[in-house]
Amino acid sequence: MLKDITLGQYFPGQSPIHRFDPRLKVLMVVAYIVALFCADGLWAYLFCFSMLALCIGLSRIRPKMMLRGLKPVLFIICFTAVLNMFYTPGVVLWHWWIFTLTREGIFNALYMVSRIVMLIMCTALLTYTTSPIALTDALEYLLGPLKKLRVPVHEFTMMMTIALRFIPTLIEETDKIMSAQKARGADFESGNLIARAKALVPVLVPLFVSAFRRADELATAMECRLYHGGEGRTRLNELHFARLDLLGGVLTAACVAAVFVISHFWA
Amino acid sequence: MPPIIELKNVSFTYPHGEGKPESPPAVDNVSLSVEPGEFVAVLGHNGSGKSTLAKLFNAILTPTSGDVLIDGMNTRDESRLFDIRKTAGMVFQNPDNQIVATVVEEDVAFAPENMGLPSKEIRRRVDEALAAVGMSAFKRHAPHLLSGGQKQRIAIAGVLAMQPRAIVMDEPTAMLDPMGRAEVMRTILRLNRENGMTVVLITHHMDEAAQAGRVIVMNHGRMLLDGAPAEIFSQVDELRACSLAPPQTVALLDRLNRDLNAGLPLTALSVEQCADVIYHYLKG
Amino acid sequence: MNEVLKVENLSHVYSAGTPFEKVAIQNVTFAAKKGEIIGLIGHTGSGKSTLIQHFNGLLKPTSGRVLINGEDIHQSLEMTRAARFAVGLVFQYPEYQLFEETVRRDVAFGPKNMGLEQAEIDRRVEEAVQIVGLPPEVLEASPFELSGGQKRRVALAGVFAMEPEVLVLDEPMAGLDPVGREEVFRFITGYQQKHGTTVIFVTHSMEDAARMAQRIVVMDSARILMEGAPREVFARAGELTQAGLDVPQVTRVLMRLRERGVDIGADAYTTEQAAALIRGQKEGKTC
Repeated sequence: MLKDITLGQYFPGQSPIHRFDPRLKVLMVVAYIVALFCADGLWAYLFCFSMLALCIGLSRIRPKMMLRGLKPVLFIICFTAVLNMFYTPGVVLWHWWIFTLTREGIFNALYMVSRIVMLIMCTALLTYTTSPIALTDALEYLLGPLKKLRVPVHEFTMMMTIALRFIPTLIEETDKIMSAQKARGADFESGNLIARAKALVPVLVPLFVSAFRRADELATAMECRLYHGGEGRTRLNELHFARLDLLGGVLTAACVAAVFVISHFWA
Repeated sequence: MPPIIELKNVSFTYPHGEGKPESPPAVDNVSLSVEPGEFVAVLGHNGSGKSTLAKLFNAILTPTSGDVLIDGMNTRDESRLFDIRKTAGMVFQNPDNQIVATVVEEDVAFAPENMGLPSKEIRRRVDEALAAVGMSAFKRHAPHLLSGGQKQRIAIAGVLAMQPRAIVMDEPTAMLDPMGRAEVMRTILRLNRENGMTVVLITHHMDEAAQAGRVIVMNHGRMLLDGAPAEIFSQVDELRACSLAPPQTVALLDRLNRDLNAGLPLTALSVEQCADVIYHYLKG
Repeated sequence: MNEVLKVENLSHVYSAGTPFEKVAIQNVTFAAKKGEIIGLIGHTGSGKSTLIQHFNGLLKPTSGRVLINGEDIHQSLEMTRAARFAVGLVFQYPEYQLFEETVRRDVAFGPKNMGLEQAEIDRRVEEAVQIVGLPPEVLEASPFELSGGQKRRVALAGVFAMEPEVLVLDEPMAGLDPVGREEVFRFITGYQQKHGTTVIFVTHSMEDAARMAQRIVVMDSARILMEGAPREVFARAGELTQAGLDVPQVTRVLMRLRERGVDIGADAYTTEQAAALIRGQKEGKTC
């Protein structure tokens, strides 16, 4: 069933990775991605990998869960691998029709694949260990300077929060409407693309009507709870930069520096 | 002390669409006042004007004529809107459509956050509000996984966190199952009795209204009856005239009076009182 | 064979094999006879909503069978599709499913999907709209312009027009005020009498169940707790209360009297029945 999908994929916990300030975590992920793209050579990659492995270990998230995060991008990974393997010029190992396997290609493919895998895993680790609300708070803070340029940062993060809140509700509703229309003989499974798209009208119309009604009621309820935009708003959980965060930040910076050094000297 | 909610000759007519005949007033010349600590139930069938009345209490609507005063503040005065809504909090029918956040405690914190309170004070209010509705154990839960009754209690906590002087509830149990309804009613009663919270409960459930201290019956936008539950529910014919059925206990006593000329008091509202009256009737 | 609908040893497990695994119904056997009106009661999560979605094949049993007129609805795709039309299912708050531009087209959605002739569709639509007490002008109006109560009627008409053999309704009166409840009650019984349809309706309200149903089935924790005529079921009021169900006030008054030594039975659930029992007692004879 649709409602079985867990969204945001947050696994609450008390590990140091969970307890890091979400702003720091977002910055750490950015730094790590930069490091990944600058990494060059086996040793740099191994170093990046051990950093990630250490963090996963500390977070106590089961490695199986981490691998599950790769599923949606499996196709891209395979595609990248094939492209790199066969289309990198170099020492030819094997040739057939338009496929030319080179030694450089194999290395390139390995590097690219491990780069993508590590990139996905480190962002997955961020969402696994940070509650959606902390994440939006962090984004609101980090994007704060943009407010000066009249970018509606608060409105944007509020929208994200509400979207996250209502996605499960709307999924459940879609499920219900689909069942109800099926009970009236609607058929969503047969026919060509156009027929199927047309079959969705009886689901989409009620869904939109309901979403607008909900939005309307929610807006009134929010006004009744004194919402008046981001101005003068305080937070229940203020973000605190603790000693642990300082340690985390320094370590990350050191590791990123190390990646540069390793790439430069041992590549 | 002045009344918390005061209506003076209030009428409200919904603006009519182009080319359509003007609709009759949804609320028609209603005057009433709610004193601090009261628990008032507003009863009526759909279209009786009871929900419009609720919206007038909270300045969601302003009267077409007459005045609504919340703790002395006129709801027409837009500069006092913030204070009016802080004084008379509002709980709506659909619990799903009033919960904003993905974590229970974050949702309860929504109003105090908007009030710009310091983080420590917000924390204190959130914990207090959740305790008052008996939901402290769920503060880290995701609201969409809770039952209807639990969600509605969270919505009540969200209003309590503003520390209002009165709570207006617009059919808070209409979408709940019997267990959820009982849960919400228990919470409301406790708030009223133990915390002295002023409660205005809009409902069409007789058994809920019977638990209030005072019942107002609305019909065609007018206030038809106003009094203690026992007094209101004993007026069986008047209730039926505005399509409301009296509680089964009263209906039973009324039946016995009509069939057997039993002369039983129609004020025995609760199951216990009713059984008691019948017991003595049978033994006497 | 007058058992129109039968489920045999039906079980349904949601998300089997995951940590979210949940047994929604367990080994339920139940049959509905032609023309019968059955009230299905149980608190939220007792499995009743899952059960009714098996009746028309929307959900597939984890184990067990669903039979319509003796035939397993999952034996072929054609049978499953036929089950959709043989068993008309009205969901909770059905007014939220309306989607067409006019009431006529919305009510016609089901009959059209059945592949009926246009003339037959028109006949059914007009009849259904009439049964739910809407004037013919409404047919050309947009369903979104109607009041909440009228929308509910249109949604009911949408399933009535399919003229199913078995009509299943999930809390058809939810959220309505006493007047609205009374009306919906009248439409359903009116339709039932006209077509001799088997009706199964889910409700939380014991009073509604008692008033409408010939037979009551009570579900609790994924199983059938008890079934029988309303009187038989309410005679076990204590068990009902334990299952988290509301027992009518008059039944509770009689239970209370019994506790105090005046046993005039506790199998009344309407004021009339209770008044008759009390009257019998007063006049010195037992009913």
